[in-house]
This record gives sequence, structure tokens and C-alpha cells, in this order.
Amino acid sequence: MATKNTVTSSTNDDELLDLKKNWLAAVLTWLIPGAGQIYQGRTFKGVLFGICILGMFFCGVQMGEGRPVYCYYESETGDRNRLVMRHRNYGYISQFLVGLPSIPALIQSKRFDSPANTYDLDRPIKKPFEGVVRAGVNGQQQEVVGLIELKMEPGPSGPELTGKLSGTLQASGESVELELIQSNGGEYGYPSLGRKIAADPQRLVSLEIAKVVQGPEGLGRDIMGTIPRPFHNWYQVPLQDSELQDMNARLGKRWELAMVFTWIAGLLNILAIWDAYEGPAYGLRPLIASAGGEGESSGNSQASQPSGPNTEKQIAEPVTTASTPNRPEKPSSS
Amino acid sequence: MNLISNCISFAAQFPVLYYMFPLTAAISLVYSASRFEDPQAILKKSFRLFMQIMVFMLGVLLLLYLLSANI
Repeated sequence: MATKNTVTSSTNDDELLDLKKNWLAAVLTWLIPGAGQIYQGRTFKGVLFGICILGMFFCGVQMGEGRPVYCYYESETGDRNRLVMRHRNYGYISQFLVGLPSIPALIQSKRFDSPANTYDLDRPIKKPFEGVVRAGVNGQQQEVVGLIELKMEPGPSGPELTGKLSGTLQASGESVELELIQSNGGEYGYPSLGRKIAADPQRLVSLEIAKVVQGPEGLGRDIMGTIPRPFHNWYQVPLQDSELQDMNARLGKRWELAMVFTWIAGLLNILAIWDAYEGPAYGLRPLIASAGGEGESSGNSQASQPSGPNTEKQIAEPVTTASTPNRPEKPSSS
Repeated sequence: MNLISNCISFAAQFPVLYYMFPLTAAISLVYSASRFEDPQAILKKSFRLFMQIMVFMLGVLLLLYLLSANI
């Protein structure tokens, strides 16, 4: 038999507040905080939940530079073994309660682990570059900005990264044009190119200078810097230990606070989900009205009883009196 | 989007302690909204809860200040 969940309005005894399909409302509220209440026609509460919970969540995300929401982080034990340890971010359990805004973290963890997440390029790219030209490990460095073109080309031991940098030396203002080849990486310990998917908006580039087409002689041996990583390749991606340390070092308490904001947003959404499923805690009397208009209990026989004089008084004064027996007693302090 | 970023950057200049105000306000509003249906009751109760939390926090702050003071 089709049933409808309804509760009497706190402001008008004759008006019934239709909870509609309360399970659907609960799911909607989990997906988008407040959406379930809006579906039920409780627009004020829906907007209130949405603004408060989503506002808090995204405020936390913004404070943490888009990185406080992630499933796990990786740490490496020892340089030789490169044993990667995976540590769960238990805070994500709370963040997950915000629904859709936290779902990308699950997808990103799959993408991060996929074989497609390599240090190579899928296709040639041309991106803005910021970094330095270096004369050696301890040599002079000169800041350079410009445009870098990168592509994979066949080499003696497989595909190799090559590129061309057209830019300007920040100190002297001189234009430079450099042809670049893949560095071995051993000297500095960096890969030529950062991973395709990682939790940093900047992707590392480290290449040797093969030829100085334009610029001062003896400019340097290699370049090191970053290119922007597309949003979908860094947002809510699992962090690596170095990135986590960087966030803690740079943001300090604000990094912790950013995560606390996202956790509390998730926990508050439990209240919103409950509200969508059961209605408000005080001042209302839950009923399930059948399609034929006959009152039925919603798991509580008290709920289906017709409203007596006492009940009417309770409904009429929801804020100052105790609710019906199937509701928790209202705290005396309120 | 730039406006939001500017607002957040502006807010980032404040001490961390100041973040408790919007945090407490949001918690009070959501908690009260899950208790009551009437918008006026929600706002009234959330304001009251906000003040209660603030007074409690101020009390704790005062207590910690007194404990840390070399009297």
C-alpha cells in the first residue's frame, strides 16, 4: 500500500507537512545537503542546510588550497627500497558524509593508482613554465618564466621526453630559447616530469639543456620548475608524504582548521539527513497517512492516534512544551 | 570565483581564533534547524545556542588565562 510520511505543522494544526518519500529525501540530503528538504518543500531549511554545510565544507577546502579532502596518503620508507606505505585518512569518513562534493576523492584514488598515472606524457603539451636555469647542483641559478613545449620522442632506451623553452630571464630581462632533453635524474634525484595525477596543482619539470638557441653563453646545465596541472588531475587526489609535510609547513594551524571545517560539515549533515528522514525533533507529531486517509503508525503506535486536546496544545506550542510520547523529551533548558 | 578567492584571502589574514565565529554560527543554525520547523524558532534557538557556546568558550578562555597567569 502506498503511504505518505507527513507531520503536522508547528504553526498550523490543520496543515500537514508532507515528508514525501522520506528515504529519497534522506538520500538527496546526503548527496547535496539541503536537497532533500527542498524536495519536501521545506525550502527555508533546505537552503539553510545547504549554505551552512556546503559553505563550511568548501570554506575548508579553500583554506586547505583544495587538498584537505583525500582518501589516503602515501609515504616512502627509505630511499633505496622505495617501499610505499599507504595510510588511511580516517577524516575522510566524516568528509564522505557531505556526499557528492567528497565523491571525487574516491574516483581520484582509483585514478591515482591506475597504470595510466605515469611520469610520461600522453600527448604533446604547451604550458606556461616557472622555474630556474641551473649551472649545476651548487651552481648559480637564474629564474626564468616562459612557455614550454614538451613531447615524447623515441630514444635509444625507449620514449624520451624532449622540449623547447621560450622565456625570459627574470634578473636580466634577456630572452632565452632552449632545446631540452630528458635528464637522467640521478644527479638531483628528481624525475624529468612529475606524475600525471598528483595532489599538487603544479607539475614538476626537470630537463637538461641540449642547446641554447638564444641567450647568453654558458647559461646553465639544466632547468627545473613547474607547469600547471589540470584541475581534474590534482583535486582531491591522495597526498604523498612530501606534499602533506609541505601543507603542514606552509599552512600550519590553518591546514588543521581546514580539515576540521570539512569534518564538521560532514558530521552536521547527519543532522540534516535525519531531519529529512524523520522531520524535526521537537514540536511536531509524526504521522503516516495512508492513501485512503486512514492514519497509520510509522513504527510507533502512538503516532497514529488522533490528536487529543493535549496533543493539540503540544503542537500549537512546539517550542515551549514537551512533544508526544514517541518523541524525545524536550530539554528543560530550552 | 575571484570574489570568493579574494574574500577567503582576506579572511586568511585573521587570527585562527576568529574562525570560531562562523563555525559556531553554522553549527548552531544546523543543530537548531534539525530540532524545529518554524524558521523563527530556528533563528531564535540558534542565536541562543550561539551565545551559550560563546559564553562557554569565553569562560574556558578566562580559566586558561588565569591558570597561565603567574599570580
